[in-house]
Amino acid sequence: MAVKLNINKCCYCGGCVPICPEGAIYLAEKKITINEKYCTECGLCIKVCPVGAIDY
Amino acid sequence: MEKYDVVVIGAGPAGSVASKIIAEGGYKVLLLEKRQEIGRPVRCAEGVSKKWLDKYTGIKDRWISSEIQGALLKSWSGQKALMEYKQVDKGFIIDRAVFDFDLARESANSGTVVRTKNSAVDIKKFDDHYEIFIKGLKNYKVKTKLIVAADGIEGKIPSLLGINNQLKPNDVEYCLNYQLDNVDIKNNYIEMIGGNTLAPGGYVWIFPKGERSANVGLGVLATRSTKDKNAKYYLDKFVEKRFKNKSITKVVAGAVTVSKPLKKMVGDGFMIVGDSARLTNPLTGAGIGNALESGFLAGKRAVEALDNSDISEKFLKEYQKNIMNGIGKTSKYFYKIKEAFVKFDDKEIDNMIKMLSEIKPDDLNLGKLLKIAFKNNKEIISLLKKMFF
Repeated sequence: MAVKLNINKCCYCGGCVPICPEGAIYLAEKKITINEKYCTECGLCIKVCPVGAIDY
Repeated sequence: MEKYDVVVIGAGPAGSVASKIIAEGGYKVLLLEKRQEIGRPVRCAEGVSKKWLDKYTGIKDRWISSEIQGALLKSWSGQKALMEYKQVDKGFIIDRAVFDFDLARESANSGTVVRTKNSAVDIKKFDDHYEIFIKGLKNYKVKTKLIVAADGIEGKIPSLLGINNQLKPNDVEYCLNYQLDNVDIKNNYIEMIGGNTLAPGGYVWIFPKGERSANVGLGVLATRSTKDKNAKYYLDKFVEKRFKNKSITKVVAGAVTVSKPLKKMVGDGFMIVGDSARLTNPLTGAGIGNALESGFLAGKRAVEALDNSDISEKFLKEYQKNIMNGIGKTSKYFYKIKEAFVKFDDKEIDNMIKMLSEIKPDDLNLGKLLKIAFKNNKEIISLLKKMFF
């Protein structure tokens, strides 16, 4: 399971990375990856993303 | 395998200052930046007090978007109070893209090896050194005695080194900032606007960027952000109301910690600096100055450690001690103030600005502002006496 990223909205701010309780998110140079193995769909990243780029 | 004395991970202001000092100390230092280009995209509202630049970088004209001589503090209802900065408190809105780039180039000119599009993805610890795995145009690894983690808000290097740097939702603001053009703004004053319907747990800022141009943004405390009412929701509402016919020439998103500094920012063979060490000011979100100072202190201690052939946590701890005696102590005070401030309801915010508006602009400073804002809070008042003594 994993939440989904909308790459048209994502601004690569990296804010979702340190708030994820499972450490499932990573920001490479221009790419956010959400690890399906660790994501529990808790929804915290969905709530905080300043541009609403993440959803279930 | 290439061998270095120090690898600095992240070429923002903290990393560039740290690496420059290490290079000037005669040591072999590698500065890695995962992005293709240093300084871009900008993730900052770009305000910085003059005192930080005077102390650590000097001032180059090409960095300056505007000079700030005061602040207009406003409440959601329209109450306003003007604060004229003393000379020592003046500041600038800068161009972070050019600023960051120049600091990295100065580091390079001092002897640092700078490489962009080089991402440190893993670290292996040995008895007396680290191996750093780097991905980019080439995949390779390097040996190093010391690591300086300057990898910013989303940095994973601390956790690779065994430090838990996960954020609590009450300790971080999620922010959106637009550079707006074709707008009417006061050129040499910043605006800071508070109100729970404008920016819950945070504030709106208007930072002039030049003729008819400004960084307009706000932060929302993570605990008060929802999918439907996120930073963009609040910023669009504010901008629609205040600025007609504006153009959006830059979109900047970012998370800004409003936490105490990392409990542990040092270990055997490593130091953590800047936003990665959670050094942004918990009340204002200001981070550039603290990043510069921490980079400077880490660079200095790295040189001392290498001079003394002692890169142990015990020796490097002096860096953290220096942080906690200076900007770290200030952060701890501001954290208590922030915890009290985010509890203000709209009536309290309004009253605060109203009281501030009754003071002459030349007499209003941060200390006075806080004393008035918290005059009924005994704990904060005694804290302020310590801070501004």
